Amino acid sequence: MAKTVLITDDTAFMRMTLRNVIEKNGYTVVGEASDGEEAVALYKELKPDLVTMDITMPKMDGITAIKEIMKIDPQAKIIVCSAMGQKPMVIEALSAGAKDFLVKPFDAERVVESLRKIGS
Amino acid sequence: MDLSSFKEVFAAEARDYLQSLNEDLLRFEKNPHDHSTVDEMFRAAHSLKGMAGTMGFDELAEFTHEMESVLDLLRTGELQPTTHVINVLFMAVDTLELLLEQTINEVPISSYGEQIAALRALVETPQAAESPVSAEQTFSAELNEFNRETIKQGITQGYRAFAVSVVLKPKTILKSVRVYTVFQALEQVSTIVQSNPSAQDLEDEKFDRQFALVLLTKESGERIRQIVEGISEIESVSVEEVVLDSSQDQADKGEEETAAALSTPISAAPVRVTRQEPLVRVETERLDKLINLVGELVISRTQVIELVKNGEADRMGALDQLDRITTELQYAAMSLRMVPIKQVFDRFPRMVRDLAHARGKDISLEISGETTELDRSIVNQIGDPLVHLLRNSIDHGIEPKEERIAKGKPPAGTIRLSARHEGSHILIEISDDGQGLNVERIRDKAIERGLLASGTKELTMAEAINFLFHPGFSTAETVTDLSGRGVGLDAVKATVESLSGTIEMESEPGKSTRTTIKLPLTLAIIKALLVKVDGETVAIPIQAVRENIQIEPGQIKTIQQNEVIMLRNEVLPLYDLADCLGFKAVDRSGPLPVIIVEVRGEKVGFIVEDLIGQQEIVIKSLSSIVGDVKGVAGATVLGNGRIALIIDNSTLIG
Repeated sequence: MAKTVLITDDTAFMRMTLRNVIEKNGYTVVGEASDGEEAVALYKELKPDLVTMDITMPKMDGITAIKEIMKIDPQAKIIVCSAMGQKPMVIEALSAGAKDFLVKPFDAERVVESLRKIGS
Repeated sequence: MDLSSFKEVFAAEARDYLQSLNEDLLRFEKNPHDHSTVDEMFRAAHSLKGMAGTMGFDELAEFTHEMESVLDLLRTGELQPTTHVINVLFMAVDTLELLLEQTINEVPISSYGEQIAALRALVETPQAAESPVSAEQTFSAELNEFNRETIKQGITQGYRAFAVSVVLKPKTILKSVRVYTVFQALEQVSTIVQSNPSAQDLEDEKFDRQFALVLLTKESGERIRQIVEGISEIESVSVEEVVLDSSQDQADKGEEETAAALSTPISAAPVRVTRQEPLVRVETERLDKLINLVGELVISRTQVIELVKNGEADRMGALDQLDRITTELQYAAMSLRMVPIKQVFDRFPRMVRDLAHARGKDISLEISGETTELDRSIVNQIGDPLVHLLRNSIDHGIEPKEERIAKGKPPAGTIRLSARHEGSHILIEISDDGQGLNVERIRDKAIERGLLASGTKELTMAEAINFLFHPGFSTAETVTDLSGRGVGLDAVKATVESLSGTIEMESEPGKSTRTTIKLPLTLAIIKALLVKVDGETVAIPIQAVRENIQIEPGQIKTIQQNEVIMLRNEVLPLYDLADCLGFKAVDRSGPLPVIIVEVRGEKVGFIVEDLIGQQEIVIKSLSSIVGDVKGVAGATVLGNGRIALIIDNSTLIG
C-alpha cells in the first residue's frame, strides 16, 4: 500500500511542486496544510505516514507544529523543509523531533531519498 | 605443569616488556638508524613470544611472532623504517597490550586478524611498505588519552567501541546540519566519544565530505551502520570496532591498578637493556599492613617514652635503641610505599606524540627527574591532573608550526615535565614554550560566565590565573569537546588539594606557561604541631604552620566585627580554634598563644589554649559513620592513647 503524505507549506506553489514529485514516486498525498495549526489538525484527522513541514508559516510556525505533532504521536515522521540560511532553525526542528530535512529549492532526487529513508 | 601460579609474574613482566617496546619505538621513530634500539625491540618481542608460548597463550605468541618477523627484517635492513612501518609497530604494541590484558583477565580475545594482516603485509612486501597510512590508522592515532580512558571504561562496562567513518554525498547542502542528524541518530543508541574533525570544525563546515566518529554502544557494528545508512545524503559509511586504543591505557593503568588486584611492580620502572636490576614485587595488601603496623609501633614507642620519662631516667638508654630501630623501620616501610614518578611519566611520551600528531603540531616532550620517588597513593592519583595539564599545553599552549615560525620561535614546540624533591615535598613542573595565557580572553570568558562584572577592563595575570582554576570557568575544550567531558582546571586543583598539595601557574604571554604542583612525599605519616583547646589535644599539620606567637588580649583589634591582630605591619584575621571546632572558647584573661597558619595562601591566626609540641602522627581517617567533617582531616592516636583530631586547615574557616 502506498505511503500517505501530508504536505505543509504556506505557499500553494511549493505545495504543488512537492505534490508533483511525491505522487510521481508512488506516494499518496492525503492532505495539504497551509500553516502549522492546520497541519496539527490534519495530522490528527488523517494520521499520515509522513509529513513535510515548512518552517516559516503564519499562525503557527513549523517548529511549534512539529512539537505539537510529536506530542500527539511520538512516532510521527516529519521532514522539515527550509530555505538556505535557516541552519539554526533546522537544528531546532531536528531536535524537536523532525527526522530529516530538505533544503529549498527542492531537488527531486533528494525528496525521494528522504521519503524513502524516513518512511522505511 | 600447572602454570597458573606464574600468571601474575608473567603479566607483570610482559607489561614491562610492552612498556619498553613502546619507549623503544618512540626512540626509534626519532632515530630510525639506531641499530641497538631495533635489536632491543627484537629481543623484547622474542622474549615475550617465548614467555607467552610457555604459558600456552597462543594468541599472544602468534601475534608476537609476526611482530618479531617485522623487527627482524628491520634489523637486517631488508625493511626500511618508514612512518607506515613505525605506525604499524605502534599499532602492534597496542594490540599486544590489549591481548595481554584480555588473556590475563580471562575475557574473550578481540579479533586481531586485521592487525596481524598489517604486520604480515610488511613481511611479505617489504618494498610496498611506503603505502600511505590508512584512514583508520590515522584515526586511531588521534584518540587522545582522555577518550582512550573513556573507551577503556566503556569496554569494561560491556560497551563496544566503534570507529564510524561517514562520507556525505557530493553537493550536500547544509553539511553541518546533515552531520547533526548523524549525531542525533547515533546518540539514540550510543555515546559519541570523539569526532574527527572536531565538533566545532564540523559545525563550521571545516571539512570536505568525510568525517569520522568514535562511539561507545551496546549495539552491534552492523546496527550502527544501518542507522547511518538510514539517513539522507550519506554516500557511504564504514564501521570498525576499535580494539587497539583501549589497550594503551589498560596496560598503563595495569601498573597502577594491579595495586588493588594483583601483585605489582614496586619499582615498576621498566628495566631496560639490562634486566638484572633488582626488582621487588610486593602485594599491596601486605605492604599496607606493614605500614599500619609501623604506624602502631610509632604510637607505642611514644607511649613507652612518655612512661619512662616520668619514671627512672636510666632506662632511657635502652629506649634510645627502640627509638632508633622503630624510626628506621618506619623509613624502610615508607620507602616500600615510595615509587618513582616514572610510573606516571612513562606513558606521556606516547600520549604527547599521538596528540601532537593529531593536532598536526610538532612537539617534543622533555622529561627529567623521573626517578624522583613519592607515595604510591599520590602517584596513582596524580596521573589525570598531569594528563590534563599536558593536554592543555598541546591543545592551547603550543602554537601550530606556521604560527611559531612567524613568531620567530623554533618550529617544534617543547614541553618540559620535571619532578624534584624539595624538603619533604615533591615539585612537579610542566612548562611549555607556547603562546602563554591570553589575559583578555580569560577576562571575556569570565565576564561571559558571570564571574566578573561586565566592563572590567584590566585584569592582572594572577587574577586571570585565578579564574582558570575557578569551578564555573570552563576551559576551551568543553566548547569543542563533543560530550563536554572536558575536565576543568578546577578539577585538577581539587585533586591536587585532596592530596594536600598546591598548584601554581605562571605565564608570560606569547612565550611560555608553567604550572607547578607541590605535593607532600607521603600522606600516611605527617609532622604535626599539637595544641590544646578546651582540654582536648588537636593536631595541626606542620606544613601549614608558619609560626607561633604569644599575644596579650589587648592586642586584638576588631575590623567590621572580625577580630584581627597586627603582625609585623600585616593585618591577620584572628580566630579562636576552639570556637571553630565547636569547643568552649579559650579563656582570654592572660597572654594567649596564637598559631599562624597558612589557609589557602593567606596567613591566619588561631588562638589556642596551650602549645604541646611537634610530633609525627599517623593519619587515620574518620569512620564513615561520622563522614566528612568540615575542618577535620582525620584523627590520630597519641602517645597517651588518647585521640586527637587533625585539623584540615583548608576547610576550617569560611
